[in-house]
Amino acid sequence: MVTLDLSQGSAPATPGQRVWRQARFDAGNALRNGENLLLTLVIPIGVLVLVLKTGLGGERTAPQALVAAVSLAVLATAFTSQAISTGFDRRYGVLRMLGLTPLGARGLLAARVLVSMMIIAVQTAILVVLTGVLSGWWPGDPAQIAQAGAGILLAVWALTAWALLIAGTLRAEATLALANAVFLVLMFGGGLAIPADSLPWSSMAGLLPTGALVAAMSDPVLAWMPLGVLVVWAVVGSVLAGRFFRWEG
Amino acid sequence: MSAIDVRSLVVSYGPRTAVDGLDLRVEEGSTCVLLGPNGAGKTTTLSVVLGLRTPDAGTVRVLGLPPTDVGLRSQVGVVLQDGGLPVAATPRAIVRHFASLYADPLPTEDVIERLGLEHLDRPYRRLSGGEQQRVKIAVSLVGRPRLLVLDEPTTGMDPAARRVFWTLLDELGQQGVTTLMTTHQPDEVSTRADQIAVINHGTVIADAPPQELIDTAPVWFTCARHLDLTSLRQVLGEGFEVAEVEPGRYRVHGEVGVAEVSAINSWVTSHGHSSQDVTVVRSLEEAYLEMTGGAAW
Repeated sequence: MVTLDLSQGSAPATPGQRVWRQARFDAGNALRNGENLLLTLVIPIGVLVLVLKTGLGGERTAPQALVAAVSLAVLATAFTSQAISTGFDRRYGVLRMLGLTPLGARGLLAARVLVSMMIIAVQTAILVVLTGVLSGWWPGDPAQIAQAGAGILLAVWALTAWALLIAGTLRAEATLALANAVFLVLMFGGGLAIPADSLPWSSMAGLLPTGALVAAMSDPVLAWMPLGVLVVWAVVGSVLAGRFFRWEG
Repeated sequence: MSAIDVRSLVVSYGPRTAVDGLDLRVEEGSTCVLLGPNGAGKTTTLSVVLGLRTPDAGTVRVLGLPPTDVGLRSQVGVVLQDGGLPVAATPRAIVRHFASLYADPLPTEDVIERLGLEHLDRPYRRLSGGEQQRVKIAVSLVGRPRLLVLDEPTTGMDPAARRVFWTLLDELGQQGVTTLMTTHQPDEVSTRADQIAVINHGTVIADAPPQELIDTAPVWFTCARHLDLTSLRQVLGEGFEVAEVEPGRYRVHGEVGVAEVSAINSWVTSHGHSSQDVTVVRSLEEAYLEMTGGAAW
């Protein structure tokens, strides 16, 4: 029989190692979850292919189709998937348990944001390559790529904060329902499924996080307005999540 | 030095006081078991010790630190009563992941083998209750903790798994690991724990080594035939109460020592019954029921 030697304790791993290992573990679980893959990868890819190949959802150029697909991927990953996984982890006591390990609550939140960023980076790479293969168009303007990157980062911040607010205050089933409903609202309302300028509420679309993200990634000049909208959503969401989030259900 | 020092702890949930002036001290390297009816305040006490709940009053020190001190996270291993582990991952993946949060964890394959998890390749949610408990215990150990806080760790375990658990806890105690745990199996801890704290209505009503508590319990004996207890009362004398609680089941109340148990056996045999007809029982469970007024576990 194996003897377990606990006579000497163990120090925690370094903060960076803990966050990275938690993010890697969460990413592995996310990639093994069929529903999650459908939401975060299959739907954005499907939308991109349909728009480019059939013109479904209105005529769009390749850059416009790519922006819509990437925004959809960001929404699905940073908001819907994040809210659902955090809500059920909260219900099953996983958040409480991890908060008692060297990872701690802050480390767990950092890992959750990191895993969203990792998945979104992979999604974006796949969508860019697919767009290039299907249409022959490749992003080339460094300034616009940087602006798109900033928009994605801010959108991840904003959407993650609101996802945590919902997951940390409602029951898991209510989180599941609301996260899916909000997904549809932000997808249609923000002009991801249909171009915003063809929507009756087109003037308001840019005030939604998804509409602002689309504008930030599409605008050829520095897009202060959409970036500012994203910052407001991010700050308000973070303040509310910090105030109302509960680790235990 | 006390590994856990709880003084005058008060915790309320709205108008209900769950813990009401509780005192508890657990010495380093010892195993302390909290016994008490459902809702007595055991889990709430553990929650405060783990820093999950802020007390309304009282002081708590864990390994000399406040319970919320981040330095405790690498020194305390935890089994929570409800859930706590990612349900979609396999036991091996879970143990490896929790080990990865430490700089020098136990070898994960050793922990997996010791807890009998090596052949469990199903997701955690598809394991039986006892198997899930074994995974939780593996996770609690993998970071080489100095203190284990275990909320009903043997729930759902079969007898063989319980034996493995208690043997393991004995080994860890010899290495200086302190354990604070709750259970609903008083008789399984009667020979294993160093200290039993009985909690009722949010306060500790008894705190002693198991044998001391057992010695306060009434003695029960059963006899295959009906007994006339009049002369037994005379044999035992003042300070003892003897009653037939149900047909063939008798209870002797009072400070029953070895001499009294021997006297009971002699009396039964002198009344024409074989000693094989008689079974004398005195247990921690009886002591517990006596102390808590027979409250449900």
